[in-house]
Amino acid sequence: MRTAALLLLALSSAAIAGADEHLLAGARRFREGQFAQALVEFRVAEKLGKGGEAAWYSAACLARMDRPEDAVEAFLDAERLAPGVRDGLFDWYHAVACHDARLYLCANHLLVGVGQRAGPHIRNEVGKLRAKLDAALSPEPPRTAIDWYHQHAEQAAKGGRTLLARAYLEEAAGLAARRHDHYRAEDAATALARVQKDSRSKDGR
Amino acid sequence: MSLPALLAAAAAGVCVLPEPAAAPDPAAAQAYLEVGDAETAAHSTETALLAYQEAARFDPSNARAREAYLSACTRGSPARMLDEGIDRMDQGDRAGAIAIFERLRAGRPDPAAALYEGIIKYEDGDDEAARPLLVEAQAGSASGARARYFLALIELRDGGGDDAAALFAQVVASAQGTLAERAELLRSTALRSGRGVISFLAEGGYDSNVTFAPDGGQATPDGDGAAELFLSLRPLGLSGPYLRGDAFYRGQFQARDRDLGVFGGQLGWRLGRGETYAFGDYGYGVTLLGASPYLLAHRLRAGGRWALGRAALSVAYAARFGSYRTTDSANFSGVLQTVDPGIAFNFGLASSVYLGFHLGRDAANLARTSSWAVGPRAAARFALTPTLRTSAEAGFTSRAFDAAPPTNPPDPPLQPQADQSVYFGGALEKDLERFTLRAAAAYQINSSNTAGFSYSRATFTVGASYALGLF
Repeated sequence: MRTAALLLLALSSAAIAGADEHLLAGARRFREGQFAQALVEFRVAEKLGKGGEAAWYSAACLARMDRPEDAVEAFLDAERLAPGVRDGLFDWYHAVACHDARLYLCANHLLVGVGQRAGPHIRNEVGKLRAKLDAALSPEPPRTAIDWYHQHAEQAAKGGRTLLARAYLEEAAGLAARRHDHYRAEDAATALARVQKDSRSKDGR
Repeated sequence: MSLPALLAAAAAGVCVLPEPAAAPDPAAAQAYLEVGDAETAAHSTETALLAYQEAARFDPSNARAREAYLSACTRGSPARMLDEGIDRMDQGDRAGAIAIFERLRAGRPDPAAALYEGIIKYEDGDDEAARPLLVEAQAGSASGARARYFLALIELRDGGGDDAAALFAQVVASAQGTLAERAELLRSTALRSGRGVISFLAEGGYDSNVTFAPDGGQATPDGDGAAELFLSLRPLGLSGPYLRGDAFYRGQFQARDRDLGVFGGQLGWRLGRGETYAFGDYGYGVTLLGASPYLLAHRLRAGGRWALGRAALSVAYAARFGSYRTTDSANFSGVLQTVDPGIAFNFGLASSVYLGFHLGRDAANLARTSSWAVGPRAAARFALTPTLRTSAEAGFTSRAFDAAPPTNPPDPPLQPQADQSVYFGGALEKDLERFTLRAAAAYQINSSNTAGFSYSRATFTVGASYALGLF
């Protein structure tokens, strides 16, 4: 996988200048478990020109730093910037972030592709997480849960975090579809359209 | 906050700037700086600190990077930094303490840091800067009561007596121990303070020798009743112009020729709202004795007080241009100049001791009515409880007249008159909201080389006063 390749490359002592240097420094820190330092290096690499690639690593760092909402937002941003960089390990971290942010449908969707491509350790972890998700998603979602996602989406949108708002609204829409009464499904669709419009207008600027 | 102040704090080892990178890289530093800002916005102080540290390392000349790093460093260990700031404050390093407190408050509220910074500003007499800091500090559960206490002190200093009293009352209700006691004490003071205050006093007394009858003679004890109306206006607060008016009248029960009336007004200016200040004023007064004019006097005064921790040095100079209106006293008309230097030591709960010296020169119309007066003074005031206090004072004065009264030959020439006077007294006062009850006693012994001027007298008074803040 690309991530593993980068981590291996980080062991090399070859002198690499500019953004690559920060990208590799970030990878080295990540491998050492120093996720805050790694995040800083990846973010600097993004700003110095390695935006798409480094964005995925930054998101992975955020997932490991127990900042799930920031991580979800960062993964969505990375996917927008460099969809080709996405791989199974990133999907795993993304799924963990979604789970920790209570975005269970998001996590469940991502895990579908991870299990088949990951190594034995990750496959084991995927199994555990999938069991948790099954437990969370098997009953019909209560209305209060759907309200909770709408509320958080609204807060995120007010804070200018349109990607995070979109994630919460997609979750609300998905959960509404799992209810017999499709509770607030129209609300979710309307809000999603508005958020996506906002997001596009921001990108346009 | 100025960068030199930040750097001074850093140099002292509180938060040390990182060693510069071997090869400076301003572009990378700028990127690190932006990452730090983003992480700060995401409330991730640890990551922001790492980013700012690298920014400062890669571009040591970047002032923004250095400042951002030092601020993030301070915020990263707030308890330790707060202690450091308090230590600096205690050591008198106010600039260093303020630098730390401001960094703790950078980008987020820190009630404790705001409290201590506010106290420093208050102690510096900068009430405008102190007020918003103390308002911010009110939000803290641990700092709220102390913040309100200092806000009340500002109101008190600014002349807002009622506002100060209300704030002190809140402190009394929410705090315990010394802070509550001080607040209770100052609440009493605040109720009698303000930019405009009017007070009324009524008292009854006893004088063992109201006519100053000489020793061995027939003393004339008498009772009396007195009333006083006092008005004080300070339109700009404690510092600025002031106007005072006072009307006092004491009527004797028997010796009506000793009825005393004192009426006067003062117009002056005080410079300084804190414990250190200077003042100057002009006053005019009329004294009645036995309901007849006795003394008309203009008076100029100037002085100041310089606080040095718990001690304070003070000096006051006065020049009275007096005109006595009775035949017996007319020759005492002239200019009386006095100087009173002293030192005071303050203790907890508004208790204090004062030691001073009095020097006076009375340049009257005649040499035999002109005199020098010198002698020490001492006074003490102790707050027994927040609303009960006692005071004592004592003084010794040696007065020497310039010349002796003329004699008619063959009578031998007289010596110039020389008197020694000892005075001591004490009082007990109890505040009951806007009322103050007061009981006082005093004793005076005057010995003279001139027949008829050696006497002693004791006085006792009991009274009550009421003060009202007008605005």
